[in-house]
Amino acid sequence: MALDFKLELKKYQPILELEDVESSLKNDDIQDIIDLLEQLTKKD
Amino acid sequence: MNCPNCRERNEEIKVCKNCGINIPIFLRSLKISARFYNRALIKSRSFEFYEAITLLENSIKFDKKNINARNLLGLLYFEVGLVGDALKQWILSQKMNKKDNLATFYLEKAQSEASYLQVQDNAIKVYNKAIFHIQDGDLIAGIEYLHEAINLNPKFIEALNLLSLIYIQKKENASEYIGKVLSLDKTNKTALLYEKYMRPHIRKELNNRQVPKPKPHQTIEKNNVSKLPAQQFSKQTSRRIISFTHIISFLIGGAAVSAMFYLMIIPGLLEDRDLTLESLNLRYIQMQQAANDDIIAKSQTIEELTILTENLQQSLDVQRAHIEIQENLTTLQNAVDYNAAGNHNAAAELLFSLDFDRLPSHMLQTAENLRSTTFAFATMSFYNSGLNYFESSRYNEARNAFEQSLQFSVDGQVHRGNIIYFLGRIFEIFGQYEQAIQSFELVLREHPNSSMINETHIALQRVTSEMANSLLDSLVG
Repeated sequence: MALDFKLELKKYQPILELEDVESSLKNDDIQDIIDLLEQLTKKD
Repeated sequence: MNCPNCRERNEEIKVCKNCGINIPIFLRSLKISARFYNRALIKSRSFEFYEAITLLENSIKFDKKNINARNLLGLLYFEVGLVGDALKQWILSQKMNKKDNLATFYLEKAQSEASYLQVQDNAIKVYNKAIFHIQDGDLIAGIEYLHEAINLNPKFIEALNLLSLIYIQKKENASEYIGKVLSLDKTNKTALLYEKYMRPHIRKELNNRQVPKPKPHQTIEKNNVSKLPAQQFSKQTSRRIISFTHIISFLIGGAAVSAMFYLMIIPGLLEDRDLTLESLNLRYIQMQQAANDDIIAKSQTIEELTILTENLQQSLDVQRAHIEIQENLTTLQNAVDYNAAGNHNAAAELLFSLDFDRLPSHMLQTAENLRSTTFAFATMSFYNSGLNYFESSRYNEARNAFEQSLQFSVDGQVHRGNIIYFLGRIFEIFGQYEQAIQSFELVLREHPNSSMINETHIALQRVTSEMANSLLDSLVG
């Protein structure tokens, strides 16, 4: 079985550092499926 | 019932009037989120961390306010070395619910172990540097950074997996690191994938190794991977073969859940959306119809009110006319009474104010006859009074009397010219020469048959002369 190194490597992303937690919280628009459904209904 | 989202009292069972959510879909989402959480709980107790993490990430996708899921997710992130993500989840959890929330305890605990936290964060920083170098093609630097990260945090599964991948790429033995990951997270997909790739190599290695017999009093520490003999390692391999079946079962189960999701929820959502559109269209048409009906009804009402107003106005006019006629008749009656009593002057005054247009036609002749009679009487009466006042040098009273006499006199009447003459005389006495001249000239022009015509000529000459003298005096100063 062959392993595609480049494909596998893409799965590794930088991890959130402590100093970036605050900005991450500000920038994140926390949505769940209910919010997405509401947006869908509004668009319609 | 109370809305499960905003807790407001609701009579609707489908859509909440307050927050607008679709209640059945919302409840279904809550159930799915809870199911993911429950399965994650089982996984995490079995040290299947990354599977539990995936389940919890799905759980909060269905219900972002699932506090338990967020708290557990944070805990698992913390365990596998992702401290930033752990803090983030606990902070979010705390924001959503500040009371009796484990997240508060976890955050306080994390803050109290600041030095430990810093070590974990350093491991992450080094790991991120490693990724940067590896993606840039510098595998050697990447390996060094990854070893450094693992030294800082021996449970850093991401770093261990990446290191395994690098060693596989370099065709070196990654078994040690794959084994370390699987000892920490027994169903870690990435490690299992690498392990599957490495299996031929491991079998070869196992065959080459001599497996020492364990000493009678030797105890093997399960979780200390670096001290495990090859025998123990092979037992772990056999256990992994068994757990591979579990993995397949999990994948099938996951696929079934996804299929269920698509079959159960999506058509329902689409159907609901179509129904919503249809009902909205229908409602719009109904509202438009209602608005049109309302406009028509109001237009009709306006028309009816306009007609009613016109009718009322007409009725009012008739009433007013009737009243005026009544008033005139009363005036006429009073005038008749005065005349009968010999008070011609009073009767004449009443008749002077009478509006003959407002009298019934059959009364007109009577009124006219009465007016002619009383006016004639009044003219003479006031004229005689005027003469008496004039001869008594009471010129103001004389003027009033003559003016009243003039008022009741008609054109062609004999004494009219005399009245105007005497008014002219009073103007002359008061020094109002212009008015005097006008009066005398009027007598000469319109009443040549007046008995005072000669006096009028004399008076005119006199007044003209007086006026000229007065003018000369004023010019001379």
